[in-house]
Amino acid sequence: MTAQSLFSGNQVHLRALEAADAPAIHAYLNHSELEGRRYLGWKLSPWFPLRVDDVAKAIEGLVSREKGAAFAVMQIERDEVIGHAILDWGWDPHSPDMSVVVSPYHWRQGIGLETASILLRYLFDYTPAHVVQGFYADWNEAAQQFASRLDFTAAGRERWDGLRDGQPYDTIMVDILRREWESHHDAA
Amino acid sequence: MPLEGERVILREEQAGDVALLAAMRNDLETQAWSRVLPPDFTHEMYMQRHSSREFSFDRWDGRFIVIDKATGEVAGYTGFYGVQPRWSGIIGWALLKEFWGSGLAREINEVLLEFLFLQHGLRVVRAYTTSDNVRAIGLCEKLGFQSSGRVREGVYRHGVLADTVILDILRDEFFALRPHLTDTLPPYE
Repeated sequence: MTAQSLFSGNQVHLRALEAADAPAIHAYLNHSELEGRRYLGWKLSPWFPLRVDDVAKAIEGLVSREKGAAFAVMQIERDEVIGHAILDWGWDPHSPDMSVVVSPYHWRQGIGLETASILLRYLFDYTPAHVVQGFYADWNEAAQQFASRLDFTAAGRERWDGLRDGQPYDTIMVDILRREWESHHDAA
Repeated sequence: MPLEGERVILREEQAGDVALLAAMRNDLETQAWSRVLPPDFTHEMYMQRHSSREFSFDRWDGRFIVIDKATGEVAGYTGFYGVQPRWSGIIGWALLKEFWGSGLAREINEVLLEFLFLQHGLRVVRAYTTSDNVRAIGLCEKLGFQSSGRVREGVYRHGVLADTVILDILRDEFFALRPHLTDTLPPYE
């Protein structure tokens, strides 16, 4: 019997994001539900219709970083790319940030929670991470519920981080400390 | 023409400044906002950093040397970065310790904020510091910044685990506190 990979769950496994994933990611990243919340590097427009080349360049930028990791979220059943996830610790592995995007065609199946749980376990059990951060726009109610279900705590906001529907919006920052994650993890 | 206030001049970085910049980077109290670097930066390293700056009209950051007008001495450095054109930017500053408490930091930031809001047309300016840096937080609050975020225990240095503090000032807040300045950009709200 083979031991389960650190990056595997019941529904998904995470593998390294590859340039060849660009068409699969492009197929869902232009979905209207993901406008403004694409989470594939800050150089990629959050709003414009994307070309496959735009996505390929964004992936190239992400996978060439030394201070982070980028994953394709693979549905185990069909071995299909159904999302992407990014870790970024910059110069400080003590306080990385994390983002998860699931194709809208696969929402409400627990894919995002399973993916985030895998990454939190990796960060807290296999790296020096002391606190993990996340961020989302204040209009993104789905992200707020997602962060809450993962036991993240609101840490504040960056006011007027962008414009949507003619009005400025804030970016909400959330965090979870290792001891909080351990406590929830033990209780689960 | 450099940026200028009553007590400070913010001028471009010159080759002759690299010794001071290296020395500030090698002082554990002035070297970096949220981490401790090995205090072994050399004059040559800084000369390389200085020389590697390339000409461009497409620039959205700025690095300045602070001159104390009263003495003509270099007092430190300041700058802005991460500018989203016509929208947002981040400021930072570091003064030599002998200028701490002199009031120069406040004036530096007034000059920078005025430049960013009136010339760049930004809507919001941010500053990042740590919860143990009460001096920086107090200064930002005097300038009109709000403490809008606090990432818990995000920074460790000098044996202390501190929070990352995010401060920001919106365009209308900047002008409301400075009635001698007029904002001609239409508001969003």
